[in-house]
Amino acid sequence: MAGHSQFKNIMYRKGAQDAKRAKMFAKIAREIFVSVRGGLADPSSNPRLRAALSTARAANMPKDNIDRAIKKALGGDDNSHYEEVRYEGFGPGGTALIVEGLTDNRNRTVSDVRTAFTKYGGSLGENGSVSFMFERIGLVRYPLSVGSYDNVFEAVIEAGAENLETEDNAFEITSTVESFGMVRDYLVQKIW
Amino acid sequence: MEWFGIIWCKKYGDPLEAKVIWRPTTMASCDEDAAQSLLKLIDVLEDNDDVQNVYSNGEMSEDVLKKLSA
Repeated sequence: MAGHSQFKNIMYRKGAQDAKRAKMFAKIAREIFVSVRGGLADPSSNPRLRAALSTARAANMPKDNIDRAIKKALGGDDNSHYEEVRYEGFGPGGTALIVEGLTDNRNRTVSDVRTAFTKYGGSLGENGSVSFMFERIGLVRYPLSVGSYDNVFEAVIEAGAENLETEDNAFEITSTVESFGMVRDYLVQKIW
Repeated sequence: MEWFGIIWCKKYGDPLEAKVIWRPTTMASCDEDAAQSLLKLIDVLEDNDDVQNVYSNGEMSEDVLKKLSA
């Protein structure tokens, strides 16, 4: 591998994560809100909420923020109705992008997204125009400290996942979308 | 840590990340200029309150990626 220049997906970039922290909390809060609205406020019976709370913990989101989002969803006051949206388009240099959102105003969102694409040398396309260049999969990441590659591989097979790789200083476990919840729940409980 | 009678055991616990994602199967090579524009586009999109996730198939040499990430 010496002297061989690796090409890496832009998704592996390290960003100005601190500046994005507040935005990240807001996004997680919206996901929590939507998952509680769509089901029970109990993570053990609400897989979407369970996933959102796990993401909140991984992001070190303060408990206050989490509780506030849940309370808002349970209370009848906030009548926001968020819907899931997905946009696809081409970026600069012939790259492809998929954008997922939760919005209470589709018109505002699509307008914002279209403006951004155009501004940076791309164009928003029809759904299906670029998604064929992607696959939808479940991704679970654990620090290398959870075990040796062989041990983790064994756990990953038991969990029903498809693949294990080491990338970006972590174990990357991939699964089908259908088995994602099961795989994650199994690994969370897995004893070293 | 869980107490299992005789021995202490560690659980894997919460992952660093767990989500359903769009992973690119066909990549698109970027030179430094395209990579910079792509990064700006991704940042602007992620900055939008209505946007939850952005995925792209853009790839670049490690050197360019490191430069962008600085």
